Amino acid sequence: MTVEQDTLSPAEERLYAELQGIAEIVESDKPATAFQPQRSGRGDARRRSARPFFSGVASKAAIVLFVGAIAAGGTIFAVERQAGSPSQEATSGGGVLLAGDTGPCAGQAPGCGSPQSSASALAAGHWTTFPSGPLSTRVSQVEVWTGSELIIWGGVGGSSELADGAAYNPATRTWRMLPPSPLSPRQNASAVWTGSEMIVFGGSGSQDNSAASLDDAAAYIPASNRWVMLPTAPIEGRVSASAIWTGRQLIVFG
Amino acid sequence: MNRIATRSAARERDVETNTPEDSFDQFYGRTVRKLVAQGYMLCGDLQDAEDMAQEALGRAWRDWARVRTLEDPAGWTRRVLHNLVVSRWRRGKVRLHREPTLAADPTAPELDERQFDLVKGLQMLPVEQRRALVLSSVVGLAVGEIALDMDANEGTVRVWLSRARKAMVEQLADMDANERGKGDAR
Repeated sequence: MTVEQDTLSPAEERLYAELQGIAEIVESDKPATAFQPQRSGRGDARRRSARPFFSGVASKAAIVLFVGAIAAGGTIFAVERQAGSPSQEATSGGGVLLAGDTGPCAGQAPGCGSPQSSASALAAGHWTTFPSGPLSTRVSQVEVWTGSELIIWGGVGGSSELADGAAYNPATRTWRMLPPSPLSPRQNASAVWTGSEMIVFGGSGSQDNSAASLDDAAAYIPASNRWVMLPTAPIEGRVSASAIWTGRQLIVFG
Repeated sequence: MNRIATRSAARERDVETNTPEDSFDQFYGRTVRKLVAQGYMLCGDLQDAEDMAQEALGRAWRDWARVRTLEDPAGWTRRVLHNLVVSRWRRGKVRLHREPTLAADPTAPELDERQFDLVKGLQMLPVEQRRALVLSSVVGLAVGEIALDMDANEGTVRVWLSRARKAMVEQLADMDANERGKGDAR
């Protein structure tokens, strides 16, 4: 681009040359088609399908498998750590996230948010406005769809992370507050719906006046309307990690 | 003026002769790595940069009927990218306590240690200074164009650029001194 540039000193010219050199290396680092969008989708689906989800991630990501289940009265969790092969990770994680990432099926079991139920239904559907909820304004919260309720928890409002949540029932168009959570306030946590519980893991919160990545987890059980703490994960805390529920295991990735 | 006229003619030809899909594919091929490079220098993480470049291009595609007719679709997409970086950074969505990915990481760009240190130095700048410096040095925009891009006045942009250059030139001088020290020790 030919533009009039303000005058630079020799040292600044050298700085610019070095920065341009870095940009050129990054630009040429991969071919432009490395994660080009596919034609089959539109909007978010196009974007999400555009890039091999696990490209470059598998070699450094930790995989945590929470094996087991939470019965209504117990918190039995066996935790194991495993470094799977990239292909295994892609098989177990890619499709579910891609299919439902922007809808109420985020992080749900396969089948929820299938192409038929999302694209065509959304195309033929219409929007309605929720009744105002009991929660304060927030961003970076987690949300899951239980099959009957949309659960929203955590996030950040103003300059403070939050630890409250609520559930919205579209059938009755009513909200209810969740009980207080054992987790500290946080944003950008990961959450899945297991079929009976919402598991919330990680995120970032304030500790000692500085931001920290969190490694604890808890499950909210709508049937008993209570929370239970889960064992601390054997990986360091992480923010905005990808999480899926396989039907038996929670896989936290990246 | 000629540059704008040429771009307008190119836009008209594109709209007349290419399908939206072909037009976008060509735009994507020209733009994606530039966006990734800018995103990387702004946030210091290649994967976040790729995600945000992808998000910016996804938004361009969703509004492509309009965006393709703009005077500067690449500039529109670049602004989306930079705003994403800034807003994610402010929301803490870009990973906390970040440092540019190390050269030993196979997913990192092929940069040498000095270049990693420079990218790391960029992350120490306030985000507005960092963005102004990338727009000036990498994108090649003049002060007036940066002011339009960042919705700021030119005087403010000059201050941001001056402070950013000063900090980075000082870092370069420190790096030079360290390298000379290592050479002398050998």
